[in-house]
Amino acid sequence: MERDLIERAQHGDRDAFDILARSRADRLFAIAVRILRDFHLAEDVVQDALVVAWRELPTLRDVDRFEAWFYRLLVRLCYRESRRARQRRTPVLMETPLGNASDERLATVIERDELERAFMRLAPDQRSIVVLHHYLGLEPSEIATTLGIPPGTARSRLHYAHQALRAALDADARQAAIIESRP
Amino acid sequence: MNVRSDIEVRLDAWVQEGPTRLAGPALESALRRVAGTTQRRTLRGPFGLAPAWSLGRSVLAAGLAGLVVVGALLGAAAIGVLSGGPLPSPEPSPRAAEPGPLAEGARYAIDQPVSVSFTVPAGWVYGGPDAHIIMLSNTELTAWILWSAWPATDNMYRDPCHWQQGELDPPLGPSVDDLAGALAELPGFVTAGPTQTTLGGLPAKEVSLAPTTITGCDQDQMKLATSMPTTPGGVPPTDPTVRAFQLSHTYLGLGGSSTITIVEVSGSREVMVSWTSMADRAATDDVLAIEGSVRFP
Repeated sequence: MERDLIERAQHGDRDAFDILARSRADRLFAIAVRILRDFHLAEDVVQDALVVAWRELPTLRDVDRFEAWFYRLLVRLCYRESRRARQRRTPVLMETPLGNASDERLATVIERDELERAFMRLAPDQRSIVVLHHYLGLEPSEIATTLGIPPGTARSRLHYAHQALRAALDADARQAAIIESRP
Repeated sequence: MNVRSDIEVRLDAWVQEGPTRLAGPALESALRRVAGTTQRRTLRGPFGLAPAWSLGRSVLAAGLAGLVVVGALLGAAAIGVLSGGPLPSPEPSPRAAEPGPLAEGARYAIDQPVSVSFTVPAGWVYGGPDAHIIMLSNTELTAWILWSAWPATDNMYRDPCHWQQGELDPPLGPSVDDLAGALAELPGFVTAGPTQTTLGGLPAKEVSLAPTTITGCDQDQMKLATSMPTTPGGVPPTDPTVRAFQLSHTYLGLGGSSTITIVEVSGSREVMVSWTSMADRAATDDVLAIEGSVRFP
């Protein structure tokens, strides 16, 4: 069924592509918004991804790789958008209002904020790998296939992303300790 | 056993938070854009040949075009004979360019990889063809011009500085606009364009690229495409005897600006790259004069 839809879309059937697009749009958006950390940019990227996917679909040689091809296309557009956004916008973080938060809730929000800031310091390719691994649950070998990079590169990018996040969190913790220790 | 580190466990939970649904209007807007978008048709047959229907169309189109041209020539001749008026005198045939200094004002022709003729100001040298490129330069090497075919099947690197990251995916499209747009999007340059222009009387697109730095680039080189190698280090060598040759392999030079003009000639995407040094403003006038003299057979 899915294969039939893809093949029909490849041959210009817009209705078939419409079904494919609707079934994937939410997932694509969820990935994009986690990489870009910005609702509006993520919407723009998903819209572009759908248009580019339609335009380029006839060039897809292996229909069985449609899913990976679509993710790769989306991630590439996220890279492009990241480069542009770096110069023109401050990301809108996915904040949760604190209100009358309990200590436990406050701790959760603080931890989330720490991760958010650390994550934003990662390069777009590292962010993408973190999202593909931790959100989609892809293993490095699967990420490599999806992004068209060597498996070793996928493994090392994930490793360095973890390392960079850890270093950023440690640096924030040290900074916070210095501020707290001031009279 | 695979023990997940603390940071991995935290990421597992954190990354699940956040929105998971694309707003309906955003999806509908994208699908409306899809409805107005034409699919790319670049399916190719064995050995890179275009599919038979496409070849057939090409042959038919070429035949019709030939008939139109022959008809127009016969018509013009008939008008000339019947009216007794003189036919326009043909331009002198260009002479084949040989490697070495070129005569000022003479028209030269080159056939490979692009059939093109041009005139040059004083002090210009033809470096000779190689597999992909034709190179003209002034004797000071403060300006040069390269010609190349950029086939529809040739892709380009996503990032000329970090070219080892791979090529554009989806790959570069086949049209003049596809290439001009992709060039204008490249990171690592001060970019102008794409702008509409003409070359040899044909509509063309022009993009100017000035590299900001090659520091930190892969192997200290910038590359646009696999079929277009650069000078080692991306910088013109200092030895003048090898410099002229190596410049013919250089698309992107520091200390100057490259203008890439893309034009479709008889269905083939041709590329002219001119480079002028920031240190020699007069060289720009020379390059513009040569560009203005370009003719396609």
